[in-house]
Amino acid sequence: MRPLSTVAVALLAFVCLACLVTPAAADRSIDVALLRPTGDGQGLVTLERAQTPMRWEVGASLLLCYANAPLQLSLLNADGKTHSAHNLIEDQFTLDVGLSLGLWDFLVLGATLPVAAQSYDDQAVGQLSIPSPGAPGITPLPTVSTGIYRNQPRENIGLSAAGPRDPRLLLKGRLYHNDRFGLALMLSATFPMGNSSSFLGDKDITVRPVLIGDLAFGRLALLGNLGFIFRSESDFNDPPGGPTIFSVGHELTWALGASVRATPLLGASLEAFGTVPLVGPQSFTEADLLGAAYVYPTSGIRILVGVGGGLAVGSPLRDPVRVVAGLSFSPSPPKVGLR
Amino acid sequence: MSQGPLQPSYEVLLPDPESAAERGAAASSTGASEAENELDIANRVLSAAKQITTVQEAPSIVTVITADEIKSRGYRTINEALATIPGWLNVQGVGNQLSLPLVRGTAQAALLLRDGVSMFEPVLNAALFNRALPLETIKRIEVVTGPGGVLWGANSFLGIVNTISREAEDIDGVEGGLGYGDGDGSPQDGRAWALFGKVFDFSHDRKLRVVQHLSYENYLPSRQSGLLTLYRSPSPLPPGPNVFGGPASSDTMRSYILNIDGRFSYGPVTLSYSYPIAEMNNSVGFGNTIASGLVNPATGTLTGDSIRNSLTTLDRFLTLQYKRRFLSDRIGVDGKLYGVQFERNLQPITLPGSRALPRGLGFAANVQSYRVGGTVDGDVALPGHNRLLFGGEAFHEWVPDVGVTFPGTPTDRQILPLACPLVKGSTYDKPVYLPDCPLPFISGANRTVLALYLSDQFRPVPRLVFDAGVRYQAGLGLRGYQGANGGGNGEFLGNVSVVWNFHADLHLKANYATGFRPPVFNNTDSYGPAVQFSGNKNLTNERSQAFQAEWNGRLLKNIAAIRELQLRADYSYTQLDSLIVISGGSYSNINPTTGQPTRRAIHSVEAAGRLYLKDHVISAGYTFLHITTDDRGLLRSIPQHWLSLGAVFSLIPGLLEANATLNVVGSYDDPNRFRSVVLPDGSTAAPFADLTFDRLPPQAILNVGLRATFLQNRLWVSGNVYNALNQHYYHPDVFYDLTPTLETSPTPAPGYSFFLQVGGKPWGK
Repeated sequence: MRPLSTVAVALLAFVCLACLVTPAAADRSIDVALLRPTGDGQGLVTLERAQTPMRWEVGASLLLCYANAPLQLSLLNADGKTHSAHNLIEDQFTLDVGLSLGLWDFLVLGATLPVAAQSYDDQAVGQLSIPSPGAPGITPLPTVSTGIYRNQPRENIGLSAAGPRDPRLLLKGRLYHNDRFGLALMLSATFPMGNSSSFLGDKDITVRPVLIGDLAFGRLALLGNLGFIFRSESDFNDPPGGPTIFSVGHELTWALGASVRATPLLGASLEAFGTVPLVGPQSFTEADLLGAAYVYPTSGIRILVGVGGGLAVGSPLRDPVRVVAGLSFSPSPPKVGLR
Repeated sequence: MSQGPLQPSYEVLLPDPESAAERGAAASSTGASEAENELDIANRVLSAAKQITTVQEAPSIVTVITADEIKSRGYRTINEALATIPGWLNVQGVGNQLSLPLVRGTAQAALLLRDGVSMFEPVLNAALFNRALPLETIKRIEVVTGPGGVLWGANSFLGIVNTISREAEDIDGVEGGLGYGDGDGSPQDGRAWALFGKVFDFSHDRKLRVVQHLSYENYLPSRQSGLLTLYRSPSPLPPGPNVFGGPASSDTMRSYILNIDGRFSYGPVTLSYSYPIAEMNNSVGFGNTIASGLVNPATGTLTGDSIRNSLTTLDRFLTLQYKRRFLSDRIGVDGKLYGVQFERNLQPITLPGSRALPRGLGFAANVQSYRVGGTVDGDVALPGHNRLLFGGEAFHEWVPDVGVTFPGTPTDRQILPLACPLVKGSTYDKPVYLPDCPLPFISGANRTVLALYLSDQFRPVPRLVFDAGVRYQAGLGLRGYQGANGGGNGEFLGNVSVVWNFHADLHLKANYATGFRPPVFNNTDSYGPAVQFSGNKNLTNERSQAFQAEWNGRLLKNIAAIRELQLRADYSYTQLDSLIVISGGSYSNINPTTGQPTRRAIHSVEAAGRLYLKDHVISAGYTFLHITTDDRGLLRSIPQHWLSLGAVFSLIPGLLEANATLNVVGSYDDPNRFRSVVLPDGSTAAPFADLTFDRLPPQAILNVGLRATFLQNRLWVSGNVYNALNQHYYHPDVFYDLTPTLETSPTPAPGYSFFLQVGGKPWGK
């Protein structure tokens, strides 16, 4: 694993330097979708495991997720003085399409292409171009924008109700394993093709190293992930140009979970995951809990359904309800644990 | 493919090897498995390179889309299929009236060929990349990315799209389909088609092959909504404001397309014809005006009557082909005679119905142009591992005088900002105008073209192939080529390439290719004082040249569950010179700032992969594009990144498969006017000089579908959903010079739609 480690360290150093010189700006380039599915279909819903597929084995996954109120903010009212709480994004559906290829028995290359559809609170979003306040008269009046479009560069196109999120590339290398314990390192990066004007993507590349460990006790498996997200800082201000009310920057990521393969046909898991902000004037700790049930109709195929929600009270990204459904194909299921 | 069973580089212009009989023979003679042979055939290039070769070994960047892929991925238009190829984008322009595939970010740069016959429309360059081209008749689409001037001559500027029709052997019976779909993207869409193909065996070596196709589609254009356009200043006089009322939705008349076409072959002679009839309405017109319906002038409300906003594009042709090989296959000849009628019937609205103009305001101009001519292509095997391609073409293309009328304009008062002609005897004091204000649109023009080319393929060792070719093409007549690089009317073109099979199925390619695009008659002979920009008779040819490099490979053959992984990565630097721009109300090749010929430089990286995994196929493509122009610098109105992911999963082998296509396109800028003023009556106005750069959202266009086959493929059912996320996305502005002055909103793209189809083969093998 020496070449991987060298590349990873060099890449991380570069990204850290790049992030240090990136100025903060008022923008909407925040990917509010907290749940990112596993990169190779080997883990739980969002928890990676140290298992890797065999060389030249191909895996594919599809994960559909619904989140209720995934972005809640207290925004300035039309009077310009008082604030009201809004579910700025009321409902969000995400679809993550993943593909992976085992390069060696210990190294897997994966890619995820995520898309989303979401609805907004129209009261909070506002309008792009309406008459300015004033008495009607015979002379033309200028138009003004309201809501989150206030003081923004004028535009004819508002928030999108659907669009791509940032695609992700990843390499996961298994560092060590025996019958009970596995350890792996995953390096992933997202690329800013998502709709960063509509809370669906970051403004720049993000790099996300994750250390993965798992323990197996027969049908029971315990998993843990610890990682970082290196990203440029995004500050959402209200009113635009005013104080920052929500920001996202470098973060520590964590995830813990357990799974059990009750029968060859059925399994279940419980996982908790979240982030701890490292920078940002108005950043928040996130935590989510997700339980899932699994069905294995044939070898290599896994169907899952799950339900969960946010735990971190007060966080703008605390989605009260989250529902997931997924399908994955991985021809080399682990001998132990959930798969 | 030196190891390949067919040695395709030396099987030039042979009869199509994909017929069932030959496929079987090839498989049995080589011992290749059926699955491997299927992949080999899919990689074969039959005609885009005017020789039978492979995608990997062709001296240019070639992509093949097969009939199976068209069926299994649920493509409904050729433009949808092209959008999955790296370097290509599915775009609509002039509102949503024209389908214009962008190749390397450039519109109207691809030459559409039907069985090797050019369908370049010489007046507007509005090719049939739309639903008028029936896909069920197509066996393969062979696409060259990059210039292809030496082999294909004019207008193979940055790409070639050659559709190859299904032969009688491919059909062998009767096939048919019946479908219906709905949704904002393609409302109330019904389509039926039937295809007959049969080989009549008269004697030992004389067979009559008959193919007859008939299709009919009736549909509404995509539903769009926006603001009601009350007034706008159309080109070529755009300085006035655009004024908008309240919300409006499109309400246009129904469209229909009837296609009748066929092929008759006897021995080496093939007669093909196509006679389509259609009216093709669109929901968004010039300046992105929403084509809302007629209005009751008393109440100011919509009457519920639809409005006509059509641009009908039809290619009617008759071709005669003679194709044969001589001297034990050492010499091959492929000759074609053709006549094509291009109909581009414009009946667009410029203003939709409103209280002031209840019936709206539009114009009508039926642009019909013609081309007759012939081509000869040949090949001969020469000593010293050489294969010489040679040929030429001669054709005459012309457009008669075209007029424009403005139906419904009053005869007693002037409402158009045009000099409408008066009735004889009428005076300006008491004017009586001719009904419908008839004015010239395009003056009659013509061009005669003669061309010759030579191209040699030299294979000094089995793993190395050199190609080099030259072409001389002269344009004569009223609109003969001007300022051509060969002096006067003659244009010289050249290409050179090397392909190195450096290891197993891995190839490296390097290629230099050139092309050119003569000005269309609408650029040279349009009538400026009416509704056109002024024609410029002094326009010179636009030229393209590209340096291209490619790595490609067929990997992981029959490893684990993988049947094959095909990869390719290309880098190209393309330079376009003397591009025609709009300057000072007219067309020009000259940058008005520098006084020098215009120039566009394009760096592109195109990568594609295709994985055959058991019975499943997964494909992916990525494009990076960096375009700079000599007048505007970095061109930000075209996406810089896009990728396409596609898959066909065999859920129940031989019975049920699922397909998905996800095209993700990065964001880009769109220059538009901005509605910055509210008028006293509540309408909003976008002044001429009040511009903004809209940041258009990235796109995620997801198409999904299911297809089931029964009774040993005699019956099939399919259902597809297009733009399943119902994303409201926008097309890039392809006419960048024009649109910032005209448009107040980006060009909207179709929303969600579905299409259900049942089909089968009730008779035949």
